[in-house]
Amino acid sequence: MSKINFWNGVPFYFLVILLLVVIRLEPSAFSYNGFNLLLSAAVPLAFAATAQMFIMAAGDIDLGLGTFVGLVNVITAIVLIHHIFYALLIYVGMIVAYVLLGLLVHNRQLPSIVVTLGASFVWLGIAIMILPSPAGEVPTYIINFFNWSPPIIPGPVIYLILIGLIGNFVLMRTRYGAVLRGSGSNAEAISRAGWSVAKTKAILYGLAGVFGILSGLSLSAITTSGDANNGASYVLLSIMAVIIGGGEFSGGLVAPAGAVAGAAVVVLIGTVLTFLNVSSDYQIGAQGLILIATLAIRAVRRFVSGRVKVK
Amino acid sequence: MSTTSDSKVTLGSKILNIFRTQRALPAFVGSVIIWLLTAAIAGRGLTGTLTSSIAIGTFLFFVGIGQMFVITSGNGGIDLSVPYVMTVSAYITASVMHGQNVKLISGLLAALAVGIVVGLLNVFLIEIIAMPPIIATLSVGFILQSATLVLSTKSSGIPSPRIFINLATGNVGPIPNMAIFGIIVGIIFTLILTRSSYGRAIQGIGQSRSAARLAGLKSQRLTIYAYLISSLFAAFTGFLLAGYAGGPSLTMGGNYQLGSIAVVVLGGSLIAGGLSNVPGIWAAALLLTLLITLVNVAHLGAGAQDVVQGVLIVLVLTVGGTKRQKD
Repeated sequence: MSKINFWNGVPFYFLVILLLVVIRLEPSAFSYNGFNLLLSAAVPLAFAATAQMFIMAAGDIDLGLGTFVGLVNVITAIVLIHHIFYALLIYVGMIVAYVLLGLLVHNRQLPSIVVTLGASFVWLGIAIMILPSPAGEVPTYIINFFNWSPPIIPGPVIYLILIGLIGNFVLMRTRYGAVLRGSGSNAEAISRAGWSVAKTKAILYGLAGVFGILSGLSLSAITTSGDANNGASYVLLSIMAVIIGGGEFSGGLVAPAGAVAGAAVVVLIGTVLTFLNVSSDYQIGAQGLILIATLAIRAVRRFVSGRVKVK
Repeated sequence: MSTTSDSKVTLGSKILNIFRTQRALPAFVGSVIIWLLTAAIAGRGLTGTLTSSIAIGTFLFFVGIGQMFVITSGNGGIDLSVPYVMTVSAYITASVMHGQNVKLISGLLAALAVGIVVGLLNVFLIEIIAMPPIIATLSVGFILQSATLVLSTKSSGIPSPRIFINLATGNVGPIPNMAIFGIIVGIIFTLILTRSSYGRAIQGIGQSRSAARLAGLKSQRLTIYAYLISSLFAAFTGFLLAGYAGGPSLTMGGNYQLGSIAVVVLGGSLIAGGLSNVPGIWAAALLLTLLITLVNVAHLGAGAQDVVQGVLIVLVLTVGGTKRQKD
């Protein structure tokens, strides 16, 4: 699995091709500022995709991630600016809530889709109660942190690489990471080997909560104000990023670096469509089509290569 | 001493047993409580609240029946395309009818066509490409959303035909037409689920695909029908809701994605599939509709409504569980 394989590189080839297309359409994009503009929107999505990847590693899907990110955005714009301590307390509480969701899904054997869909309404409802209409102000230190402009290499590029490295380290380079992935693909084997599946589930959901918070913070740096509906599109986009990055729905099979590349691909596809003057009305449909196409190609590849080599 | 405590235990376990076997009962009881609470806070409109809630709840009931067939088929079956199908169907039928009374039947046929096309698309992705149902129906939903956005710029502001609005919002005596229609459809689908071979078979494959296959059931074909039923109900409900509201709108499907799943769960059907009932869905749709009224009457705002709905579904799932009836 870990050997360098042509197919594992697909999201990265795709990313390079898209960058070339963007530069071909808009030559001025090939510059420090150009890359800054192109990829700054990919950072919050890469955090969200990594969060989704942790849930998918557990064999689940998170349909509440979008409104969770929106709630973080609202907290950041309303609470963090005035009361740092309370805001931090709320962030921690939200991560604990994710851990509890994971334990609930595990202990009661509930489908994660329905639980997280229910949770999504709770996040949205709380966000609307705090902030019925867009307002608030994101602290400047948050904005400055995510708009960091180091010399030569644009900030977003560094952030994306860091997110990929962290995800890769946690799941692919640590011993417990293998246990975490294993719990998603074969919980029975993991628990027979003496590991607690409840614990792996709680940790994976907790990690998703942490990255969901980071996604909301970095999104706030872009929006600079609060809106409960910010991040609503992240449910599908984060799943798309994970899938384009090489992840599977069956649990355990994930590619952390690929998910980050997938996030950049998803954002760049939007940019290309905009450059081509495709109406924003068509963009969401195009995203759906791309997801279907990715999975269809994978299905064909699997069919051609004969047998599924899972497990 | 011991005899009295024994009898208490049996009484308690009897009540528990009733709730365990009559899985639709909590939704009915909950509806009554919220109904009385709403009327008490508002101080008026005891019967009016009930009849209008039953009428409005009918839309949720219909998409809930469709969702129920998909969920019952098991294997993680779920249809997230419901709200998008509703909206696209509302716009397509509006542009087909163009506000003319004589074209009401063409509108209905267009809605059914939308349902069949979307249902087949969902089934193709799930059964042929082997996409997980969530992702397949969500992707299809987003494609439909784009289609709706494009359509809405061309056919916005077309009112529904007069005769259709009158039918959908009319009354027979004190009872709204929609309430009567909903109950009739409910009885038909109760019979389909409990008495027809299809209804028994779909619950069978939901309980155990392998056992059902050994019994000679064709699970793939049964699942295809389930997704078709769901899309047909969603498309028909979108058509109907546009008639009820006087015309289509972009946000009309909004609450029906979680709503359609919530009523199935609250109604006592198993989210894992294999055990479902229609009356529970009806009561749950009524409950959620009354809940919205209650939130409005109590001036709690849209946020509180979302929180209550979300908490309710997670709570019922937690209490109700999925792996069930081992005894």
